[in-house]
Amino acid sequence: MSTTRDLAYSRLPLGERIKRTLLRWWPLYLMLIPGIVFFAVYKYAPMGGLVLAFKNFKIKKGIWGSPWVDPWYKYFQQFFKSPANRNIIANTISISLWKLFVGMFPSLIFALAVSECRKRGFARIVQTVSYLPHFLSWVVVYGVATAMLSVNRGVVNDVIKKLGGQAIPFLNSNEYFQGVIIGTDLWKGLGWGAITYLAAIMGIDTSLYEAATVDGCGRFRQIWHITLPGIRKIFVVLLILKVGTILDAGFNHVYVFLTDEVRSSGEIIDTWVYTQGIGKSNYSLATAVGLMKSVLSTTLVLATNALSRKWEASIW
Amino acid sequence: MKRIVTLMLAIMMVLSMAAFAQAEEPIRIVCYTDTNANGFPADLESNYVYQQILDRTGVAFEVIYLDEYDVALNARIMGEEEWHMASMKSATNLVTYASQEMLLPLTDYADDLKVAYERYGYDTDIPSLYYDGVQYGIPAAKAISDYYYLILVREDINQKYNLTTPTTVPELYDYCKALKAIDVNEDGQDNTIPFTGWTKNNGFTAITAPFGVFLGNKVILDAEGKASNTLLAPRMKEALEWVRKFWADGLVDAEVFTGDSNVKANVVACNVGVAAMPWSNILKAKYVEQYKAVKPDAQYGWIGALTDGKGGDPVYAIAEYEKYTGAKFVINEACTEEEIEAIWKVLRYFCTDEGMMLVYQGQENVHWVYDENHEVALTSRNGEANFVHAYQILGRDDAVYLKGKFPEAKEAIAFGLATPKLIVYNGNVVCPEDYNLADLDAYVNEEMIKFIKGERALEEYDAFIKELYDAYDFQTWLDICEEQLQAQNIAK
Repeated sequence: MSTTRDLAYSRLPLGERIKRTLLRWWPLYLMLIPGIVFFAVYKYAPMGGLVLAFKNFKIKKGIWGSPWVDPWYKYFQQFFKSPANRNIIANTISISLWKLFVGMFPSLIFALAVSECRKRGFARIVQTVSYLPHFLSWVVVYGVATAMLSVNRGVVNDVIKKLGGQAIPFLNSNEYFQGVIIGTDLWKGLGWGAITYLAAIMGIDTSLYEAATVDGCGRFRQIWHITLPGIRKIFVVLLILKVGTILDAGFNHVYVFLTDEVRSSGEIIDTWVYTQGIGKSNYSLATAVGLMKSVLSTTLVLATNALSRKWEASIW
Repeated sequence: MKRIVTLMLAIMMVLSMAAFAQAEEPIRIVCYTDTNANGFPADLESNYVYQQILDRTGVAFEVIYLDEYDVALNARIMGEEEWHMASMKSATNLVTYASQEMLLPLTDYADDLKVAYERYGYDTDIPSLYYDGVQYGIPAAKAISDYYYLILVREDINQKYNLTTPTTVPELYDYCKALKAIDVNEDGQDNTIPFTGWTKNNGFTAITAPFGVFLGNKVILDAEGKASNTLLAPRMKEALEWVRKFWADGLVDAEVFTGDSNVKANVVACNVGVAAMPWSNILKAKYVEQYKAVKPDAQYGWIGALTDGKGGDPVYAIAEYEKYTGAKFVINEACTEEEIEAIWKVLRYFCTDEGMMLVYQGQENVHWVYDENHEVALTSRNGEANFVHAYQILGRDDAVYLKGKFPEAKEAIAFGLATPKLIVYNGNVVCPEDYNLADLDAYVNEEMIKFIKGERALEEYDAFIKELYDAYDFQTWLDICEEQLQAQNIAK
């Protein structure tokens, strides 16, 4: 019956189909309007500003009044001709990949540990305490890191010195800089990152665990055969979303920790754009690099999504 | 009856319009500055400088400090926020804005400028005020902040351990070695920092300036008077060798590059032996109080510039060539005639005795008085005038200003003034838009730190210079400097 109706519906002209759909689902479409307006005004309309990447921008003349740049790829060329670019791109990808790794697997392991904790009260306390750092700003985290890792006054170095060792310049050395960035990212994001996994774990049918217990499965077998497959989709979705930000590397985070001493291991695309583009009024350069980043990020998201279809866990 | 009511309404309307006309708002001038001033009043009502300017000129002259100045100023301009004046942190900034036709040419205001010139006594032929032959920058009398640097030592420690203060770089090395073995803050911990320095590489000039070297990209004149660069200084490797030796032997603060607040914290904590830094950050009464609270018998004094130990002259720190003026202000091209007139009215007020002293010391008989010798004497309320230097739009005569403001540091200031400096000319060179000086500076800073810390071998110094030529077009930068300094008759 329903198939016949669907067939009749599909034979209607497009305009009629749209009209019928709107009439039938109007409350839902009404609720959709604010969302559409939001995205149109704040996300899509500003994209017109991307034209700045191809203009010799003059503040007084505005975006549309400024002349086109010749050649049109001048600012892209400027970025790629900068002798610093290789190092910047390498740092960005390195920090991002590490952040992606520590942002996903430790949180997953932590979520598994919390969900397996038999004492629920204790698990809740651990969970709450673990996601508190998420609410600290990077400036505060830098303060904490300095108090812990500073050569002169850091707790860690005090202990090392008392044990007869040499103080380690964690914050001032190219050797350790990326490690510190990854470590602080892990500390700040571990608990918060676990929330999504915990929510997914809670959604797994408990009868599966009961059946597995009856069949003689231990805790690890249950995690391997029930929990991990149960949260596979959410894991892939998070992975796809994170891949989209792989060229970001976290401007606020890196900028706060960056000094001249660690610039060769810490300068990333965004910090370079900030000083070169915004600090020196070169908005066209900043836009060109931003546009390039967006195109690459979108490509990466599409590629990851296509790849994840193999595991039937793609977003679309 | 209707007529009476109509008449009454008409009278009321006329009266209210008259009242409105009387309560006309003063012209508001927004002036952005990069000068950070402590104790800036939270609101305009309690800002007596603002109120006095308003009272004397009828102009609501608002000075607003912006943190991260270049970025913040650009953001405000892009956001089309109202602004009338802004300070330019460098000549390059002036070029950026002037080339975009955003600044008011000052060609028609020669008479107004002349008043300021006569009052503050500065040169007009400063290249950094001009773009394409047109003057856009309002010059500021040169503050002598270059002369703030002193080599500070712990006099109490010298006395207690019978240490002789150094006069040469090798002696400084031995002195620091001796300090390393001493617990200078007597807290029982191994935390003595024998040597530290201000503003990254500037502190190291205590060691490198006697060799004619600054560890960075600074424009200098060579022995023949030709434009050159400190990176090409003949004794660069010798100077670097010494700095590396200090670093390798643990005589330098391992966090010296972290920032000036870190240096200051260590100096106040009294665990420093030698600090190459501005007097203003430790010899002011309030800082003396701070370090005395940590260690009551601690006493920072200063020593003269060092020599290379091989018969050279004593030199310490860098100073910009005297014709360069630092902070200067520009006027927005979009200002109306009334606003421009209001700006000059305020600037002319700063050229009067009262206006100048207001932005030097605060209000007469409140924050300062003239003593019997007609010298400025501060009152107990002078602390309320800590922020007034943000209003020094036309600069200041430091010899007058500092003597009155910080009587406790009179000797230190005189000593700093008399110390021979390494003269640099970066302020006289305007970098063209198409040369990426920021990239060059960033790379030089990075690599210099590696050389200092021994992360890069000294044998690679020539290769480093070649990298600058090959990848950063260093020759173009040298040519720009040479051409501009020759045009100003500074270099041969």
